[in-house]
Formats: sequence, C-alpha cells, structure tokens
Amino acid sequence: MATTRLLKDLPLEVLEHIVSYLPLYDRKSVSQVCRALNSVTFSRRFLKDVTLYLDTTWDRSMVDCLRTSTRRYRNIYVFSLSDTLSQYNFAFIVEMLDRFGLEVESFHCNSKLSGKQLWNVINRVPNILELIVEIDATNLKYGQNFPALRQLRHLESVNNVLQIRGLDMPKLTRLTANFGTSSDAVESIDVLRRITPQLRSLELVSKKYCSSIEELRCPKVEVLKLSGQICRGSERAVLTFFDGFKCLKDVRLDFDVKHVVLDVITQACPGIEHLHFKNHHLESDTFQLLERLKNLKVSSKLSEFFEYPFDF
Amino acid sequence: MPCIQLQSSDGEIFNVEFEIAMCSFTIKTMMVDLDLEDNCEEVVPLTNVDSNILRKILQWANYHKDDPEANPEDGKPVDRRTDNICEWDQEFMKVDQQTLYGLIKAANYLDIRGLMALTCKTVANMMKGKTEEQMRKMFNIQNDLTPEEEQQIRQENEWCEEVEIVAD
Repeated sequence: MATTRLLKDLPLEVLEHIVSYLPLYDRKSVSQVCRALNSVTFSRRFLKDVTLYLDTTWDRSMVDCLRTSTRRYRNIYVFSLSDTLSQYNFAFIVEMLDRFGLEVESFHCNSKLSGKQLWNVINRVPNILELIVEIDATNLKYGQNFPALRQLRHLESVNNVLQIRGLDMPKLTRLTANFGTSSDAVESIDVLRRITPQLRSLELVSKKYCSSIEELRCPKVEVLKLSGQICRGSERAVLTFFDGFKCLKDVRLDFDVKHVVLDVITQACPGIEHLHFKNHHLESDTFQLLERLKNLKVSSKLSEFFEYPFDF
Repeated sequence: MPCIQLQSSDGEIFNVEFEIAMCSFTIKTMMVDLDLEDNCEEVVPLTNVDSNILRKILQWANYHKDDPEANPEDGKPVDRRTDNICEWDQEFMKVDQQTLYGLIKAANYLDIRGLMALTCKTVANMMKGKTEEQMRKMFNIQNDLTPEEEQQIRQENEWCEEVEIVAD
C-alpha cells in the first residue's frame, strides 16, 4: 500500500466515516475546503440529516443558486410568512421538486396548500416518507378524489391530510391530525378507523367533539396526545375509545380528564410511563388509580393556573 | 497461548497471540475460511500493512484485548461523540499525520472497528471548530474550487439545517 501523506487521498468510505462524526456546522466548513471534501460532506448519505430550508422571502440569487445545485436534497421545509402560497412562490417550489423530487423523503410546508397545489406536490415526490402540509378542507369538494395519494404507500408519517379519502398507506405509523371543524372529524372517521389499528403514535387536536370516537381502535398506539374538545362527546363513547388502547406508554391529555376516564386508561394500559393530564377537581382516589401504573416515571397534572410534576 | 504469524508488507514476521489477532475481522474471517485455527505454522501475509504500522496496531490491540467485542453488524457510528476517547488512546494517537493515515487505512483494511472509530474520531477532532482556510493549512490541501463554486457552496450551506431527530 502506497503511503498516504494527505488526508484527501484516503479512500472515500474512510472520509465518510470521519465526516460522520461531525455536526452540520463543521461539515459546512469541511465542504468549503476543496472539491473532493465537498462531495463527501453533502453526499446522498449525509443529506439524510439535512433539511433544505426554503424561506419564501427568497430573492433571485437563491433561485439561481438552487437551479444549479448538484446536491440531491432529501428533506425540504418551505417556510412562508403568509397563510397561502402565491403562484410565483409555488412555481419555484414545483421547480425545486422537479429537480430534487425523486430523492425527497420529507416535505414540510407551513402555509396552507390548495387541493391543486397538494396534487402538484404529491405527484413529484414518489418516494416520500413524511408529508407535513396543511390543506383547507373547505376548498375540497366533497368526494373529490386524489389519485396521486395512491402513490404514497411508503409514507411513515402524515400530518393533516386526513380530509382526503382514498388514503391507503400500510407503512404509516405516526399520525397528527388537526380538525378545524367537526365536519372534518366526521368526514375523516372512515380513514381514521382504517388507519388507527396500525398506528404507534397518534396526535389529535379538535375544536369540536368527535361523536364517533368509539369507532376508533388503537391497540398498537404507544404515544398519544389529545387536545381540544375531542372527548367532549358522550361519556360512554369516550370510555369505549380509551378501552381500545392496549400498550400506551406516553400519554398527554390536554383537557379535563374525568375520574372514570382515568379509571379506564389505567386499567387498559398498566404499562404507562409518562402521563400528563388536566383535571379541575383532583380527588384523592385519583392517586389510587395512578398506583396501578407500576412503570410510571413522570406524571403531571396540568391546569390553567398552575402545573406541577410529581414523582412516585 | 496459541499464536499466529503475521507478515508485514516489508517482510517482517510478527508472532501474535491468537486472541489479539482476532480483533481484526479480516483476519478472523480468513482464519475461519481457510480453516487455519489449529495451524500455527502458517504465515499470514498482510501485503497492505508495513511493519511500523503493524507494530502500532498490535500495541493498540494488546491494550484493548479485554474490551467487549464490537458487533460486526454495526459498522457505522451510532452517535457522533468524539470526546469519549480514553487517556491511553489519546496518548497513542499522538503521531504524525502520515502514521495516522496509515493506521486508518490499515484499520479499514483489517476491519478493526475500535481502532477505526478511534482514528476517525481523532481526525474529526482535528477538524472541529476550524475554518476552511485553517483546515487547508492543517491538512495541506490545495483549494481547487473556482470562486463561483465556492460561492455556490457557501450559499447553499446557509439554507441547510440539521434534521431534528425525533426520538421514537
């Protein structure tokens, strides 16, 4: 083996190994050293840990720069100050997706997409795993179908695309849904009913109560976050819903949790490790219920006025 | 104690305890494949490692022979910590760059996970917190980027952020 006097003469896989110990801040400096190190530090492998942050206050130079980029970004975050995306801004996003789309695994946009815009995004990202977008359900005609969504079979995480029917994602394990109106929840219940049995993490926020909550079965869910009015419906329905959980570990309930509900949860899932809930009138027997949770590490009672954690 | 004979690229023969030689997955696989485990007479030639480097490696392997065995499956570093180098190793790593690269290449070829991690972490530590200019100087690298390319990289870097790791 010839003696290696210079760092950059080391084999590529060795340089990758070295770079793998560096945080992004240092990787950026390394990429500016020379051509060889630039291609190592932003190779496809390392772009897994990098998000391309597109701020829609972009100017010409950013547009031109990304047009000639040789990197294959895998995660894209679109940040916009306005509630919706202008045609000009969206056209640039489409251009970027045409450029990087095949590699993109995560797409996150903080402003609302129209149905048509969502369609344009999804059709360009066939290998997406995580899609975090907000769409305005009132824009969608009832029964409107999204053929593009059938492509999303690899999706592992989804946020707020529930209003769309015809979702078929066998790999999905994480779901966050924010229901603005009760009709959202009602219209999504079919999709939810189909998807919840495979989920490991579920987060629901709702401004109105969900009357058919008892139809949801979540036997595999370990992480649960509920907030808003979602459990304000009939007590029987809510109790049936909570009885369907089997392996909860991390629970956060941001609403007034009644004693009976705690009774059901603690009985159905004795393995809970973290429990946070709101309760206006803490009763002494509430503590007795918590004693069922032998693995409990942290619990806290949240209230409008004060919050305190207590350890067991 | 059963031994094995390793021959460096410059012809020197090292008598090495079996147990110590086994820190190299390459040697280990070779021994099993060639069924040499009971045959101490055989000399194993290491055409890619010279005697200076091999001597250093054996010194390292001897010190670390009682370490828990690394899982051959996980070749990639799980965490990015580089501040967890023990004192003996820090002292061991006080070598010139040529020796350091020699050790890295040999650790890579011989597939010695622990030594690979140690040497790569050492180089990473040399890079940390340095500007590109300081790195060019430290590693004697010519800047072969055109001003346009440099500008492009600098700009793109500004829009890159670290992905938040979501703990499952």
